Amino acid sequence: MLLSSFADVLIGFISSPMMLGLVALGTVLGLVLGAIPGISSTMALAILMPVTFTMEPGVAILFLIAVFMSSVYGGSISAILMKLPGTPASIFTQVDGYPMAQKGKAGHALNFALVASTVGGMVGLAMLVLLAPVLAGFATNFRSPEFAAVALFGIVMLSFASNGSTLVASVVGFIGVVLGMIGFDALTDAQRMTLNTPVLQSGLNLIPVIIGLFGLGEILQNLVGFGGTPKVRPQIGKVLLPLHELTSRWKVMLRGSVIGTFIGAIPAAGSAVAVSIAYAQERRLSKEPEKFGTGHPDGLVAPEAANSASVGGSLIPLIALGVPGDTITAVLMGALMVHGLTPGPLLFANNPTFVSWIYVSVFLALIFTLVLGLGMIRAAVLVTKIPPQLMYVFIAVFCVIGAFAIRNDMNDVYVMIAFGVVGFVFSRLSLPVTPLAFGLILGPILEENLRRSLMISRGSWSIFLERPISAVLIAICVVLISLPLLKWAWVRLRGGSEASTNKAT
Amino acid sequence: MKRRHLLTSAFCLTAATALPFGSAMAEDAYPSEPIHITVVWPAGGGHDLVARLIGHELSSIMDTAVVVDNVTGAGGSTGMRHIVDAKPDGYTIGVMGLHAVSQSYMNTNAPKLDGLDPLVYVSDEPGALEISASTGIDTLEGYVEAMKKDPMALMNGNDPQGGNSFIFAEVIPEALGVEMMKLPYPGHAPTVTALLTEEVQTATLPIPPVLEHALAGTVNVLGVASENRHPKLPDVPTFKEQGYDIVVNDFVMMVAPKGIPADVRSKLEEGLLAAVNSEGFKAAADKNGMVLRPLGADDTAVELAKQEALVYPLLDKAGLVAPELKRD
Repeated sequence: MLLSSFADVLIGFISSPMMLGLVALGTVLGLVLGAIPGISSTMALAILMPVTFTMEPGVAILFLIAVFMSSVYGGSISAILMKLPGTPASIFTQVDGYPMAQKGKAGHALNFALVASTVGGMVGLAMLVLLAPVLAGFATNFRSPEFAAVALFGIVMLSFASNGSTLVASVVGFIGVVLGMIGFDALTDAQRMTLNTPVLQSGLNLIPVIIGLFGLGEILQNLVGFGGTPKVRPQIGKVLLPLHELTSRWKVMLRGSVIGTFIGAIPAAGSAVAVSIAYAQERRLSKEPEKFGTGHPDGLVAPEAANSASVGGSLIPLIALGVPGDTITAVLMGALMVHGLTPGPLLFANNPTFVSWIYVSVFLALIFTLVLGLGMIRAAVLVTKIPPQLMYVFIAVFCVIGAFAIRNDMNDVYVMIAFGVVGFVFSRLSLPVTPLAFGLILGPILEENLRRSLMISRGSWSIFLERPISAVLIAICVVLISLPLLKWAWVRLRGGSEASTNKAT
Repeated sequence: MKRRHLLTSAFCLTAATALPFGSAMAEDAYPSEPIHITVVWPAGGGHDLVARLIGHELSSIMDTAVVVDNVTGAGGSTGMRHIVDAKPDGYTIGVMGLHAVSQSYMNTNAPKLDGLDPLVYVSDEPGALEISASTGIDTLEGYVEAMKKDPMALMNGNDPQGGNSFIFAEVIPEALGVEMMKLPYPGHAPTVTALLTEEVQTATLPIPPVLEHALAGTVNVLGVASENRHPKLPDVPTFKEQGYDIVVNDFVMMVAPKGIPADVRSKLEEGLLAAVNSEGFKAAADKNGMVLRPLGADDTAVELAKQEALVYPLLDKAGLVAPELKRD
């Protein structure tokens, strides 16, 4: 019944030129807005929402979903070409995407990202359609202890997310966790480490920090020893990828997609957490983890698949429970409510065709993003033809605009500049910056939920072991942490003659 | 100092495709530039929705583009400071609620309320007490009885200190004569999630975020803290009807920085009232469960003073007022 109504709605869509035109328009707007640093998917939706007020509800949702889906990929364009993530979902895209572009494979990188996005989106959609009722039940098992355990799991994974010493990565990650505490405490509204100044009261927003660390830091890096002979600028390279390059990565895409969907389905976990875990997991499983961060396609494909899959995932609690999965779906929910359609258990019962309508909208938006995205790759990579001297100026300007636009707050620009210096100093000292971002994302989630769990259990730590999901996650963490030790012991027992491989499985 | 919004002015073009925009540019009379509505919460929240809906109507009423700026952070104080510090020329106005009253006493960096010029009162957001249907409790009487038997049996989800559902969670149990275990969540959406996943059994949220769940029967609303029943839930009695004198509400009002010229102020007041009273806004607000009560500038100032008188003693009692901001 579900599939036949899906087909009915799809045929209705395809036979209407007006609808197809709207999807195309929404897709282009989403791609462009998403590609501008500082305009997150959330903001792209909010900006375009008033345009839909005069439309029919279904048409409006179609348009907004097209904007939503395409802006997720749009964010990757600036991440790959300029090392500036356009959206929080693309914060791990530049880690391997930008080095690829530097090596003259910008076209390939964008292509990988686009295909991975499409595959991730389709997996997310398929799971949304088939598993929504089941996964919605799974999501309701997530309470504070589970959130704390997921965040802990992510933090343990961070030691696998960067090259070099695990100890250094952990220390840097810990600094990130501490930095995440600056501002108003989420539970008591008390100020912490703010020195009672407005700049620090706003807290460190993730986007300005990331833009500073990666974008401005990169520019400062290039300015050092910049004696008029610029470094090789990124080349477009071939746009089309050999098919086997893509098909051989189906496992990576699938893993990223599944991680993305599940994490996306957890209310409030969000796409930033999904991509962090997908990236770390892929690096951990890889046969060549040392190549991650230097332009390894797997490091690009996994987070890209995860961020698009998390869209489908985040729609699961929205449609099934009326609980938005993240801020982006919260805006979408606001738009639905303006049109008199409140997502939630009643939507399935009262408007079953509307639910199919949403599914078809996601499907069409993905197809259009793939087609228009492929068409845009040529145009997008023209950016790389700009002489580097000029490009750095552009990027610096975009760094400032992006940091400001996220909250319309000058303080975020100062934060961005400060972290630009941090990024520069870190790379001079060969310290990894990725764990800093991990700590900043996961620290606040861990702290908030840990404290709330302990309030619920009245101070008893056993709450984390009494609940099956958190117990399993914590057990995995323990295994992950003790793995190197066990391996060392194993090698010792075997006589210590074998060279210890770094493949951790 | 009026801050130039590099990006937002570019966005006007996008938004303006749907708006009448052009003829106003030639004249010098107010408004001759886009009006910016500051929202101190992120895009997607209740205030954001109100601002965008009002902005949509206001742009055709005032014949100029209206831009919504989300200036967020520091519990809403960054945005409130943005409004107070803006040039008082009528091109920067803002949406505020109870949070700004609380913050003005809790945070020494938050602007004082006397830096604001109230323009229009939009709506009441009455407090309420909701309980998860899985508890099997569907009356206020049942709740009070259960809580008197074991105060720890039912935990309440609410905002961190100073937020509206925190204030409701201070007022409601005291009047009911019960002790309430309060669990803080950063915002209404996470609180609703906690209520649905049964991490908490009760919540003191206003109606709009729980409306759908109340209609679906997963959440029972035990009482509404207003004089009249909530229009979207006509079967739910008020606390007063049930013998408890509890009237407490958040509110949505539009404000300008102090010192805008009188003629601009009256034009804005008139335009905003027309926007709030427009059919389009009324219909959308009704769907979202808002309780509209449009009032002019003078009545809005009276309402603001009333809220201040209600909130200060509560914050003071909870030990949340910053020492420098204590009143005698």
